[in-house]
Amino acid sequence: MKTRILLSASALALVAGTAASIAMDYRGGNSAFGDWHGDTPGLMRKIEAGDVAKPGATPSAANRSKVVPRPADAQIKTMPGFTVSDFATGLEGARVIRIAPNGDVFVSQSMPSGSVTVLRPSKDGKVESKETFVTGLTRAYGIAFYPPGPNPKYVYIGMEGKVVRLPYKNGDMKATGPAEDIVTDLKIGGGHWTRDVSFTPDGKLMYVAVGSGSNIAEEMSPRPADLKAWEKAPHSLGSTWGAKEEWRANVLTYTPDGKNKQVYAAGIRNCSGLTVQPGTGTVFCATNERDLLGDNTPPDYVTSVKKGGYYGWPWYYIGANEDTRPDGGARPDLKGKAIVPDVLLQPHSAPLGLSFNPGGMFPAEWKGDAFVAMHGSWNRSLHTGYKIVRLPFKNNKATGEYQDFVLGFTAPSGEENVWGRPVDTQFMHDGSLLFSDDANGVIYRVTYSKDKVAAAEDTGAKKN
Amino acid sequence: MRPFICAALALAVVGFAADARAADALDGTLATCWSCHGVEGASNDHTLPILWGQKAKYIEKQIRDFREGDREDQIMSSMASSIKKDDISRAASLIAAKAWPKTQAVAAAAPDSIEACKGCHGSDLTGGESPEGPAPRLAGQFAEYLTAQMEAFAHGDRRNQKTMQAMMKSLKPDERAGLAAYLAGL
Ligand code: HEC
Ligand code: HEC
Repeated sequence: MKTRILLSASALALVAGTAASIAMDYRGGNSAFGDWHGDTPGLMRKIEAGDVAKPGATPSAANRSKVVPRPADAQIKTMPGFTVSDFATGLEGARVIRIAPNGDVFVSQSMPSGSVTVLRPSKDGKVESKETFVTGLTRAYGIAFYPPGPNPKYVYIGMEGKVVRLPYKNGDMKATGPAEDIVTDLKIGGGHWTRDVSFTPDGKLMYVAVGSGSNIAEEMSPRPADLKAWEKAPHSLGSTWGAKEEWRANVLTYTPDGKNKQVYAAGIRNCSGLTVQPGTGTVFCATNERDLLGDNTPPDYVTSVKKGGYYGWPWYYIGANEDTRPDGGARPDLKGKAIVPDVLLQPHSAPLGLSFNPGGMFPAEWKGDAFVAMHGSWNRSLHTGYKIVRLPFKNNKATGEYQDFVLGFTAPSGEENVWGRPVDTQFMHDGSLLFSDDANGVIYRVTYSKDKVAAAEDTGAKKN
Repeated sequence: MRPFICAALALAVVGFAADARAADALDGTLATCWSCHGVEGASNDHTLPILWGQKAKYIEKQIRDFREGDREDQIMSSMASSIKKDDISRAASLIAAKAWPKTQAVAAAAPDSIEACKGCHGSDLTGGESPEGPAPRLAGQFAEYLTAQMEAFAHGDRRNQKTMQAMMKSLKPDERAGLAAYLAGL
């Protein structure tokens, strides 16, 4: 199922002449799966639930990437009309990016410093000044301004075990007061340490993402005698239990004062990129699915998240595919109850950050599309991920497809090496896209110019 | 009496077969470990620790810590949980029984502060039992890995041993790097 759609120059005008429509390679079914060798800017893929490979179809491989410094001749690849340049360098451990109402760029540097850095952009898209907003917050990760809107009073930060908040007003580059504990009971341990934070558009509820305490719940204490009762509020359908896994693999909600903890959704192995879709208020997560089942299973995903929704972990994945590894026995009662996520992604690509294009710079029909950063694989024979992809949306709903957008960080000198591991994406007020790389501590900026596409087509035409 | 003996024998045979199968499965699991930690005991990637010949008790504790989340690493958390609970100590003994590989690291000058390490890590720094629990072999480990672990203790990113945390915090980054270079060259 590999179709090559080539649009002629005249057809191009009809589809508004975006770079995306010049030459589009489309892969579905089995051909949608693969490693970085098959990646190319513009390539569109669609993976469907029926395509999911059986566990063990290939052995579970271990191939950890080795981070090398950015080579002098490094070339990032993207689609025609786009330019990728350095926005900021020297930001060790750069992770989550959020933009303040005044345009200042907040970046968490989770390790080793546990800080949040503020970068003030200049008119020409460079960094005019830089300050440390706060430091010493262990594994500082998620950042959210509160209340939502033009005049936030606090910056909330998700960190190890906690959500804290610091006083803030527009223009502050350093916190004017100490961190105040808001939530102090977030579970820690087990590798899934990122704690993302976001607010409902009305500011009444705070979402906090807490990943699972393990790959596949190899150890859960004895199951609750009455599962039906267990799954009532404050838990929900498919909630895990025990010292290690209760309140994990969840999106939780609290009131902004840190009270009224509830499970909003369960079975999401590690929700990162927790994002509220502008306009609809729908919550979205990007998720790394479970390890050790082989190269092409199970798909990672991006999905809208329903209140009370169950997304499968640990007993099921991508709908009704059963996993027999969790401790404490099967859950036939949950079969068929796990929601199939909206967009399935190549297994092991490790999607993390996610943001929606507000428009203003990128091609007009890309407005509302999601851009996802993939940190890249270790549990796959050949590397996959290590790129930024675009998820097309129509009427605020994902089409299920995704497109290679920015790539080229893999194998600069040897298959095992990489020089970039994208973590988060975020749009600036001018519609350009920032993305972070925690491998070499860089924030990149992606800009777009129609003139550049036209120029590229001109020279292309002359060559023909 | 006779039927009873037969049953016992049959049981013994079944038990043996099950043991052999378990050993095979464990070998298979351990083979995956070498794809990162090195098929001959040392990886080309010096951010990955040498495991072969490491102290069994120490390996066992680390595997448990990764599983239980007391030591955080996303990859190792999954890998450690791929070993069945009942197989952990046997896996650790198998790894410990292999010969510690020789690396290309060059000898470096001994910093004064190295004396403080010997009480727990052994007079020749090849590890041992300490009052604080099993202390790993440091001699001949990769400098890149050792430095990263010392930094992790100092910054609180590795927290499965309080004394090591306090000790590493009290050193300056260049002191930690100096210790790592010396240890790697042993
Ligand atoms: C994909 C690569 C990868 C695989 C496969 C892997 N490891 Fe590791 N291992 C690592 C990394 C990375 C570290 C260092 C973690 C850290 O920085 O704390 C590590 C650390 C360890 C340590 C701690 C060593 C010390 O000196 O503290 C042990 C023990 C260990 N691994 C055992 C295993 C075992 C057993 C397996 C197989 C079941 C395995 N590893 C498979 C990557 C891997
Ligand atoms: C009081 C006893 C004690 C002393 C003194 C001590 N250590 Fe340790 N060290 C330990 C223990 C116990 C561990 C294992 C921690 C664990 O359980 O994970 C350890 C672990 C380490 C590790 C991690 C190695 C690995 O394979 O991951 C390094 C590196 C280390 N020590 C370096 C040093 C250095 C350098 C010194 C001297 C400056 C020192 N230690 C002094 C007890 C000690």
